[in-house]
Amino acid sequence: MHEMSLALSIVEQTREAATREGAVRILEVEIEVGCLAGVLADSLQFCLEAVGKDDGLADTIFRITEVGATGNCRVCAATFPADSFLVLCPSCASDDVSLNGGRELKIRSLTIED
Amino acid sequence: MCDSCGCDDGSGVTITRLVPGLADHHHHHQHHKFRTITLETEVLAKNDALAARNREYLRRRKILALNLVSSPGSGKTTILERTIRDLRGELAMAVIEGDQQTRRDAERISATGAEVVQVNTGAGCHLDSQMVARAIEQLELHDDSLLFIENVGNLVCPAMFDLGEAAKVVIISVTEGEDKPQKYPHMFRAATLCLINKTDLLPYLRFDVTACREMAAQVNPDLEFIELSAVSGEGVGRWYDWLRQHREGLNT
Repeated sequence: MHEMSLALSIVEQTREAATREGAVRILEVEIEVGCLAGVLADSLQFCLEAVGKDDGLADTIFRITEVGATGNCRVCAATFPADSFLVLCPSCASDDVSLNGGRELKIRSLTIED
Repeated sequence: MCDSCGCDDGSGVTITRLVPGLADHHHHHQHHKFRTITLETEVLAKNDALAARNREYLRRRKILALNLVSSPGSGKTTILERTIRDLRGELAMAVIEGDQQTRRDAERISATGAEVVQVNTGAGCHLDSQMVARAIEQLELHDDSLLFIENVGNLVCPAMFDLGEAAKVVIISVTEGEDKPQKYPHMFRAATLCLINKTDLLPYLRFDVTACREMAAQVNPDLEFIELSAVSGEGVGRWYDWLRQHREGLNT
């Protein structure tokens, strides 16, 4: 249940940034979660709403965008989209695949009211 | 993406919850009452920054720190007890023990004579870099030594949290299912070395070591394996050689 730790961290960093910007209200927080980041988007959403409610962000929209990864076959050099650690190269069926991206876990942006 | 049913064009999924009354908030951007600021900050930025500080501190003192991760009951503490008893004449070793409750593991380590700190996480399911920083402050660490960080027994959450270690060592015991690497891929992906423990029990079990290694290699082609039994001692020499080699690697 590390999503709760992540939700607390997101809300804390959101509030710090909003204070720095002199915001009176946070309308939306845009969050990017890679498909290989080890984070369940639904669970994070649930935790963000629960934490947000207790921290004065009950009306804030937490928008989670999931992003994919790219597989690179180390046998035939093919490049293809991947969404799990268990991928076979679609060209040569090798399982010797290196993965790039998909580990993103970022607060992309805030929409605030001045 | 289709707004009606959420079907996707393959470019990634967006799930949006609209709060009643705020559905048209984008409209307000034109009046400059609302603005969007770009942050692009890592959610785990604070953990990662503190982990980087831990790593730098350990590197300067030539301390090889290993983050030991596994499900509960794989034999992490037994491996450490044996390792400390077998290598204590050769290497200085200290341990940070992570558990939700009790000091039992720290007491077992303490009985070997090694420096040990117990971190109790309460409800927490993993160690983080701040807990490790605080534990390091309390330990009397030697330069040119080993620091074992025994994480909370959990194959999920500890994969995400960098503690400042040089490497993660994942332990699987042969009393578990050989398909664990595929069920918990994040941990096996994050690890550098996999110890397959309790091999003395193999004659009584149907655990297929080769199948386990193949399944782990599919998740992480670079993963190294050592099969051992912390009870009988078979295979522990290869683990000790791995430790020596990685500790010496800090000098280069």
